[in-house]
Amino acid sequence: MLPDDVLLGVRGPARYLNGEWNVSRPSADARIRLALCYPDVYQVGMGHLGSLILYHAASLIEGVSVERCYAPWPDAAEELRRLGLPLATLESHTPLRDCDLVGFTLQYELTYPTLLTMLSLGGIPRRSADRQPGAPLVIAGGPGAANPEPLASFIDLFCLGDGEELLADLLRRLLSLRESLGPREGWATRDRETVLRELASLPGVYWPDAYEPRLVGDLVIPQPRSGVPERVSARLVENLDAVPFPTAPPVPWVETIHDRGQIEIARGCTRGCRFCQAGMIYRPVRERSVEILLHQAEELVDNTGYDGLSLVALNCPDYQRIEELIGTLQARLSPRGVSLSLPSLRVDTMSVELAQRLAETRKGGMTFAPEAGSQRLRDIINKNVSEEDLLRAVEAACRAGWLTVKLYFMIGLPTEADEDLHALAELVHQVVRAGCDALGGKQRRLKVNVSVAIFNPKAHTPFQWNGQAPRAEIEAKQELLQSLLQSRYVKLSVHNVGQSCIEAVLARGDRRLGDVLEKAADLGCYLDPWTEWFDAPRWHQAFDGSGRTAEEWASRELDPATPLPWDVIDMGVTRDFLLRERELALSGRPTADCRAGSCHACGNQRRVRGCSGVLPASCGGKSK
Amino acid sequence: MNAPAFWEIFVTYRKVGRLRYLSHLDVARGMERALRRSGLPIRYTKGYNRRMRLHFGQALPVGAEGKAEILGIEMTQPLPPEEIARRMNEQLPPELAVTRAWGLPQGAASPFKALERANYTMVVAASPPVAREDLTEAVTVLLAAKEFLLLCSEGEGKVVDIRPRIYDLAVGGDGDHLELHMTLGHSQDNYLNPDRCLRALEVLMDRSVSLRWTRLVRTALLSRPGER
Ligand code: SF4
Repeated sequence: MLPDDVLLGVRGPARYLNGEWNVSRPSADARIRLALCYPDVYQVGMGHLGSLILYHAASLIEGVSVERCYAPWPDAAEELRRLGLPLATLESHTPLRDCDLVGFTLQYELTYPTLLTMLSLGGIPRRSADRQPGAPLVIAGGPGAANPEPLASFIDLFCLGDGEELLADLLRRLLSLRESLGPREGWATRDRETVLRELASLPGVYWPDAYEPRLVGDLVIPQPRSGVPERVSARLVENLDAVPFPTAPPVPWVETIHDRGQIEIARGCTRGCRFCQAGMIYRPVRERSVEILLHQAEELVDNTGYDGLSLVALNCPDYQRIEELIGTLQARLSPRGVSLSLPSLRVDTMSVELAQRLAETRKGGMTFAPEAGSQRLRDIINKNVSEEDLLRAVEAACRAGWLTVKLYFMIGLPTEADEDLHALAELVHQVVRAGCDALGGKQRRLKVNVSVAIFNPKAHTPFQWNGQAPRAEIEAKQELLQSLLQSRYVKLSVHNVGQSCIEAVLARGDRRLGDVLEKAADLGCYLDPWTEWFDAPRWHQAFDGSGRTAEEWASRELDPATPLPWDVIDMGVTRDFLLRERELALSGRPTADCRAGSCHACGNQRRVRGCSGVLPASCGGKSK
Repeated sequence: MNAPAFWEIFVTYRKVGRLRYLSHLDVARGMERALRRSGLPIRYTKGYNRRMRLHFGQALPVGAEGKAEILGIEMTQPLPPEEIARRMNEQLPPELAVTRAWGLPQGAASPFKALERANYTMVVAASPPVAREDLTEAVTVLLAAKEFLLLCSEGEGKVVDIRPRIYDLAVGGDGDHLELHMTLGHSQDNYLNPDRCLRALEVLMDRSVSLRWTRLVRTALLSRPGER
């Protein structure tokens, strides 16, 4: 991508090299070139399992060359501009503008300006409306597509829900279109709209240009033009055993944020935390079978040589045969110098026991996420954790030798008052006492790291109508916590208010936000998830002319009686269910995990007949 | 007849082509992964956080090539060196290939201990450009000096006399293409980074000249005379 003398002058040049281990040479006679882009740097993108899954799924389709592209670090981006070089794929150095299909994953709202800048750097007009025949089709998927509207002016097609089968369908359809249209020239002159219409007829594809944005009340709502469905339903992979999984992914030379092998043991969660978008839009739970996982794990280690393996799920301990899986994996992999880890743990002693069996060192610290400080608030957000659960788990962790405990909380939750923050602080102090007691003579080495995020209402959750607490309020809460958590054992870290606010605006934004995003990108907003690059004054400026400040957009309360910009997207859970959950939340009543036996008719019963909250491996479930 | 087998194997490998942009850590991690893929019986450290017992030499800077770097590997069962080289190369790209392997007889000293010097070829870019004669002049002055004190950042502001660590230094290339050929100390207590040597020349030339390398190759590691 960059010439040699430039590579010598930029930070971390090795991330721009092609041809990591397991990457095959791109075939020259591919009929479709797909660029899978991650709107952040290589080290972040390569750690994302979902992207590796899509990369693999696409590579299985003959006639397709699948290539990757990441956001260059600002110094390298600057060099590209200076030299007039286009951003290109790693594998074949094809400029993005010369690919047939350019796909982005939307994992985090703050990456959106980076996405726009990658398009510009790659020589693709940012707005769909400005793309000429022959320009690549730009597609996007991932949790961000649950509210596609802020990006609707830039993305030709959104892919909703589980991506591996959908991407394969899309590529096959495109291949057959190519067949009927002849060589690339024929493709290029072809009416773009015909191609888009054809692809948009696949289940799970949302074509934003086919929906007319109309102002309804205070929101811009997309209204279907003729020939497209009222709502587009997300795809659901019912049987994880039946879909491809990457057991020979590219092995990065440079250290990535998740520098180990990953196997996906389950997808989805039905615990029903009311703030959690993933727990709402990925339902029901799908488990992979132990037999397949054992096989995949060994293949993965054989093919990559990784010294560690992570078991990935929204909630690992909930995997039904977790003990058996871990026991067998450990017996097979430990002699080969491979350690196992479970990144997502519950707040209970069983989780501590699991972690204890896996961890070779106690260095990393034990993480728990009670999310809210008071029982009242935990009932509101449906986080089914009691004070006792937490203290017992902490005690068990310290007994087992951990000296560091990490606690994750959120502030700015609906109905939160100062009492709740006092309760939070009190809970932390109780954790300190429990830790000290359990550690005995070593108590001076106890560390309790408290990380406090800011509540961010997301689309398709029961709190989607709530606004984010205004900046001044959040800052006051952060200060209160600072003062309440003065302790030699406690280290408090709080999230950046500015970044949280932009995230909130985009998470519930409508199509008007496209102008703001474009302006932000023009002003130089880039790699905004990196605190060092996030530039609040620039964002401030980007909102000029949008009629509101960022804070005003973020804190808007929406009316449950009027339509929402993302109503056009059906992620499985229904508006009815979300409204019911909202009512229950406000009256402080929890909802049990439906896997325990009672279905709450969240909406997924529409697509999974006889849904019981979990589709065990290889049973596949019967869909309508 | 069976080939002789060893518990401890040393290999020379190269780091060339596009992989010259790897850092020392990247190379170490990459080698470890290649070895795990190969299925060779590598020895691990004991206790928590087990690591492979591998021994690397002095780091090569990011962007620099190495023609014959040394890596020591401890095994849990003796194997012929040729087999190690073959199985490693099945798991390594050509730009990081093993070029030679040999066994260390039990009780013998590690080849790292015998290392004394390293040869480098460096392509130099100066801004503003400098005349060949000026660079040659600086080299002559440096070689003629009895000592040359340089502030070395890695030793916490330590001042080091680098002169005894320079075994040879000559200007090469032709026309505008300036090269430096260096033989520098490479033992534990007499190591000199080629960048340091370039800094010294910079000091000797003119404060307003900045020298940097656009290509750097460590061409050979040399042992004390009489040792291999
Ligand atoms: S349909 Fe019922 S059982 Fe299925 S996920 Fe929703 S609440 Fe759970």
